[in-house]
Amino acid sequence: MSEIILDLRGEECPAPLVKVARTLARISDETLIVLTDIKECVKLIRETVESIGSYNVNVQEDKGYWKIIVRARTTN
Amino acid sequence: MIDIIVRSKRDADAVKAMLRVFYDNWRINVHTLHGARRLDKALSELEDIVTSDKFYVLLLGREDKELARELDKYTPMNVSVHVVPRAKIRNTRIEHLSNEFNMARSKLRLAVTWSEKYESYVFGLRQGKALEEFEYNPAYDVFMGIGNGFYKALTRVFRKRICYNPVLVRKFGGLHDVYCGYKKIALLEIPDEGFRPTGKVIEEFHGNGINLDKIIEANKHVIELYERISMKFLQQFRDWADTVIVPWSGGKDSTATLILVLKVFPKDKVKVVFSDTGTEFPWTIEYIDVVSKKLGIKVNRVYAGVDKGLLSEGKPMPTHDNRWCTERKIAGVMNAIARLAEGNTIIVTGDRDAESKRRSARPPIRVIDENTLMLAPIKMWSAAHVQLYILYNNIELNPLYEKGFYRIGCYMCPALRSWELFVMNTDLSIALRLQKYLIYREFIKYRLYAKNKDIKAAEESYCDMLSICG
Repeated sequence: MSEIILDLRGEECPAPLVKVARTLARISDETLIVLTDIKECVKLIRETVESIGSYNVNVQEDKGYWKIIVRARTTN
Repeated sequence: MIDIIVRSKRDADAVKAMLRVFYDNWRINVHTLHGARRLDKALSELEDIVTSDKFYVLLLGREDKELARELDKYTPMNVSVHVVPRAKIRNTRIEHLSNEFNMARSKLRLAVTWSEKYESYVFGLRQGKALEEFEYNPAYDVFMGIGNGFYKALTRVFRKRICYNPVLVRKFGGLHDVYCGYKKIALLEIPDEGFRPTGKVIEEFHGNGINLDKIIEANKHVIELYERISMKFLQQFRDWADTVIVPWSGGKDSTATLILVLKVFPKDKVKVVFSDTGTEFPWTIEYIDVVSKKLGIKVNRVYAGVDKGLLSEGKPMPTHDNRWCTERKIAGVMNAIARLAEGNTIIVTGDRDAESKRRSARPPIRVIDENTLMLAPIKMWSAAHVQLYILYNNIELNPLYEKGFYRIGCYMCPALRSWELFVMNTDLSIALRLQKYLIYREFIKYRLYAKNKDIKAAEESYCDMLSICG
């Protein structure tokens, strides 16, 4: 399964949210990895992803930034 | 949207250096008067530069103070003439130059004069008599206290008669100057916490106040100028855009933005999004219905479920530090963007400089990616321009404004200040209707005991980032 990485470090919300929304609209089974260094954006990205569809969202904190891994939920 | 004019090439170089650091991506052109020092030559140069579909800031150094004073008499309304007080432009530090540019820009927004001819305020530069003790500041905003509800609320605070349709200047820390005609007649203080604003009448007002029809008539040329500039700004994307998304809150800024967008883009490209938290004021829901019918548009409603969060998910009352309601409301808009954005997409917001320092630092065009832009066409308007623009287009304002509100949002928003709470609790037509909602009753109880830090929304309102809280 392929991965798409959106490196949005340095970008203030809402721009990252719009990018996430538009990316999720065009991908199907790829894993989306979003990088942000703005804490405020982490919750907003999670909420955005959950509002758009059925995804598993995993947030990992790294040195000075967050890695948000978004995978489509499988039905089986 | 805005260009800068300076006297000479060396001044232009200094301004360009400032723009590179502080206004990257703003797409601001810098023009010169080709060194002109004499009034006639400077006016002739200006005539070649200035068009009526852009704003201009003419920045002159301390040594050109006299020239600036003369030019200020003859330049059109869309030109802000501003003297950098300390030195020549070329010798001014770029941080100071940036502040002076901000100040000059704010004049285009805050300009309000009194016209004896129309017996009305005119919200443009050089249109009449200056208001008493009026001062410019990039943090200020100007708005009209329109309607009977506003009149009654002010009268209740001051315990004295105030004119109909006063002008209010919103300053720092909840302080407002209140004008009836060119006279400053009262000071209004709106603390964030509590339920009661305070005020002091400086001079009692005699008379009926200012007629709203006259205000609209007196400002027709101002509204048309500001509209032309914003439309020209949007028109550059008319061919590029496949989809135009307008997040609409039912508040004044997004309503004015929507009217503008519908004048520029074909209706089939325009997708209007209303993110309903479930805790919207009922008047806002009705307003969305009435105005969308009048404008002939379909509204894409998204349910954000803030009421559900409070009633059945155990979520706490939102505070400044816990903005889960905002996250849901914004996520609702993003959900709509994911579904509706096709091809090249523009998201048009009602962002205005006056709302916060952070917002005023954002460029009017934000490039999200190669297929997506965010535009802010009314960035340089005052709240008064917005109010007038809506009325000029024969669209009513959200009734909550006429009941006295300045900002709308949700009925349990932590950003509601003492003013809105005062209006909500003293106007029975509001209080009785809201009392039916359990969440509202809980919110009022919560606000009685809430700490200031939980209420105060720093310098920005909660839903600020998309201008979707009215």
